[in-house]
Amino acid sequence: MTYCKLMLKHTCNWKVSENVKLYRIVDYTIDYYGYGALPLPFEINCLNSCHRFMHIIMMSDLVLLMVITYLTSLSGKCFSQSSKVYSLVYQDFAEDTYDKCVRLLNGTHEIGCQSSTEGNTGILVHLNETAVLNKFLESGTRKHYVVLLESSLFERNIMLRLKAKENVQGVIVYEADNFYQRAWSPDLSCTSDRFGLYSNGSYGREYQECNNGAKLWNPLGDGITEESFPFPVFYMRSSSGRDRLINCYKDYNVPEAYPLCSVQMKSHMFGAVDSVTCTRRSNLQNSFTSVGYCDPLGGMNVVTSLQKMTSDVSSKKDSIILVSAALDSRSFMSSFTAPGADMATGFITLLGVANALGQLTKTQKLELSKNIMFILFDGEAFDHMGSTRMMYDMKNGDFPVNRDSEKTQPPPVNLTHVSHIFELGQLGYIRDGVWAHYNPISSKAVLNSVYDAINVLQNLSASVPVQNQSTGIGLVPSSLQTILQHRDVPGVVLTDYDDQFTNRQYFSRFDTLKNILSLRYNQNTTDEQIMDLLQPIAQNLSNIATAIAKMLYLIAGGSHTSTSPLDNITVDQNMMNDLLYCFLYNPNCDLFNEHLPLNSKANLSSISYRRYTSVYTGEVSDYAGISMNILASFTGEKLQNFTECLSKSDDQTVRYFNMNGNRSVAEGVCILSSTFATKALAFPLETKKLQENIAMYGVWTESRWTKTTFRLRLFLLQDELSQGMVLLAGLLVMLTSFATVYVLNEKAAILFNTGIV
Amino acid sequence: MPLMVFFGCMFVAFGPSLALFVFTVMKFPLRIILLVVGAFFWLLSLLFSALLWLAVVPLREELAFSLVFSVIFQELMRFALFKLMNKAETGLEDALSEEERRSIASHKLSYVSGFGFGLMSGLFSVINVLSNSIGPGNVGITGASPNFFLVSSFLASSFILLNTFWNVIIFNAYKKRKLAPIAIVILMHMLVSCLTLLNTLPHSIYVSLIVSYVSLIVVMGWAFKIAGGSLGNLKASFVCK
Repeated sequence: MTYCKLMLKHTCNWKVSENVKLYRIVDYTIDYYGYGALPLPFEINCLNSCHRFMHIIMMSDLVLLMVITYLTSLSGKCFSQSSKVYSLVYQDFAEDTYDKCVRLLNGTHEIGCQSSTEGNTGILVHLNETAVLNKFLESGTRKHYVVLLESSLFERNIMLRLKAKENVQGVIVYEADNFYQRAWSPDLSCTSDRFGLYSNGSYGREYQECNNGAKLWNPLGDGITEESFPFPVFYMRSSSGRDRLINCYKDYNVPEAYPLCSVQMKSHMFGAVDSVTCTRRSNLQNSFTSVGYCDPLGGMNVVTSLQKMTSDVSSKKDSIILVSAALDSRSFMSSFTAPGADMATGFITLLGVANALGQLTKTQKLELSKNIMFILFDGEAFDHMGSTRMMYDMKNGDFPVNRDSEKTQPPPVNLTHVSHIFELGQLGYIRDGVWAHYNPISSKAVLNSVYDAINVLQNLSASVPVQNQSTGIGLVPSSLQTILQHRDVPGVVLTDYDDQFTNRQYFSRFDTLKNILSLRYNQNTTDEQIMDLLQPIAQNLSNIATAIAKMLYLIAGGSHTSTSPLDNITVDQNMMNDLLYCFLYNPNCDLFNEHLPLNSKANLSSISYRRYTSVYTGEVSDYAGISMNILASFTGEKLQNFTECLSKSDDQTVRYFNMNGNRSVAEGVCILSSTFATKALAFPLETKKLQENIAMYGVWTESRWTKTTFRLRLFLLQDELSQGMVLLAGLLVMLTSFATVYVLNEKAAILFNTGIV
Repeated sequence: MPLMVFFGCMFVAFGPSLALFVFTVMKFPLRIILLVVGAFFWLLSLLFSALLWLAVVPLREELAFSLVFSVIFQELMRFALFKLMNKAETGLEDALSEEERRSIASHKLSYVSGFGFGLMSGLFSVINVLSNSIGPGNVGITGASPNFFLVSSFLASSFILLNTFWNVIIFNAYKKRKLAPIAIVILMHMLVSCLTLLNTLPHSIYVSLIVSYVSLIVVMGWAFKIAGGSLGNLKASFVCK
């Protein structure tokens, strides 16, 4: 009997607590039921009938509880964060209303932002002027703050001062209605200097811009992208969200008295320290579970050969001209912004050139003594990941395809086969002319062929003046810097600036079509109006692209006679217009739809591609994919035989592209082209030999996070005194009730006129 | 330390019930069973309310609708509980020992089962609220009273006790087939529950609190009387020792 009582007591206590527990579990996941692991005391063999009765009741109780909690969790009302009570306490901001800064790691540093696991909480403080900011920096003495920062104050120096003030727990940047876009770049002022041409030893010491006080390429760049913040930084995109924050501050925090308007910001990142540490940790972790801490940044370079490549001819010395441009861009926060419009004009012009040269007939192409290869580099914004990888692949004979003796492959290309390199950089401000840049300390022979090429271009380009770079400056930041480290090749970079960027918003979130190209438009602007606005720049770009195409034709050995196709090489201005429209304004356009893979399910978004390289997947990213298809279709051969298009080929010298075309034919169009996608991934991350390579190469990784990582919510904070009062009240109630019930129970016999209770 | 609020509120909501449990229920196995039975029946009422809520799609957003039906279901289940207890009481006569029989004799049965009934209702009404009190925020951003958590806990506490006393009164009335007390209890239950709808409005939060505690005092006195108490007894208990 004693045993029975004991068991009962035990199970009953367990019961009450289990109710609570069940409730909490259901709060999070319904899967719990699937495991059927409810700790029911089935194994207890009950002799007493009271036990059995008890068990029946308990089990039905539990089943009921499960059914009810399941019902309520289905409805998602009662226990979820959308419950009525939750909404009395918190106001959540939808994740797409704000942009966020994430954690990136390179060989030696961590940059970006992150919060604690639970999120950072602080009292909201609104800083909209320098005076207010200074006052706050001196007198803000509360334990934790979240700063609501007006956009014009968002720059490196101020952010570093906020970082130094340790009670700042987070920063939310917003734009006021009358916001004036100032000239500002978040990128480094001596951009891409880290592993550049002049970074090693004594070579070109006078051009090591930041060391020797030479002109800075990007004088407006404060380098905030490369800073690390121990708190989250969000950018409030929606004006209603901004007003909610400002009003909450005004209503509760001026003057500062409890309850205070507070904010919780969550953006917890898994990665830390640097790529080396993080990759090591990830590998350790991988042997037990599938959770990692960071992933390599990277993408795919796109390579196209104008002449169809065949396996039987090996590449000859100086037989190839490379034409390259960078595809990607970066910014401080890159979830929603798509900066780098000025940079994009480079690869858009390249596509125009490819279009013009692609229109040569098959025989005309084969008559050229030199082949022309177009390369679109990915990941260039991160220490020239794309071109660095190309050089590594060339060295190993893996360019443009990985060596595989079992397959028919194009001959490997390396730098000795290359006679000229032309790179197209920022060309958005082309109305002031184009500057041709080169490495001024190349050998004499190389410089001579550089001057020759520039001369040819100058003669061909009538409407857009082409000027030589000023004396006394080194080669501009470019992929060419990476390539020239391996061999002194004649190389020219064409840009819209001479000794410093014309673009005053390089890689900032304002570096878009709207601001860089000074187009004035809003939501009511029609597509036709946009097309009209794009006309002038499209015209300039098509003019320079025509000149470049003609120059390439001549340098490649094309004949210059009255019957030669030279005069027919032109870049269609409408084509340039479409390219600009599709890449920088609205990807959901005819040109892109025609170049999607046939019957692809991909729906084109109407928001321009953000061209942040992101995590390496081994697949071409959306912007590189569409560029590859366009490039292939511009330079390739249109086939009528569709059966070939559908079959997979062992022949790696060419690729078949089956695209939508203009939808008049069900089979779409079939394009045969020597187009390849090569890795744009830092090789040390692939070979896992980081430690010995970090001094030479940029190894970038991005921290991992989960679906529920980002959160921004607003609430009122109670002072600790009143919180303590609640606890005190609870304790008082508890004590009084224990005392009262004890007394009543003792006196029950008298109170109720009965015998023993 | 928002956990201070959470624990304070927990103590307020369940302090009295814990005291009752420790001193009057814990030591008696049979009472524990009855407590669980009462809790079970309250859960059944919740199940039916939930099913109705699930079935009537257009009214899901209307709290008032669910509330009214939930009170009706609760009272129906209380009646079912009474019927079951009535049956069990006669059946248990022979099975139980003298000691056990005495532990659930007369109003003790209705008290304990009502306590279980109320405990479960209190648990469900307040856990949901208090899970949001863990922090870091406090109620108020939409204009609701900052004392929402505390008031909700006091309300939950009062509901546990109200249910207990209502049970004593209504079981007695069912047994003696008196209609008036039954009607009064049900109406009271409806009234007090409906007043809690005002809780989310800024200044009316104390209305339901005051009404429920006034009702609690009335009902307590009434139940005390039914259970055999009187003012004389009360005086006697203080004088005696």
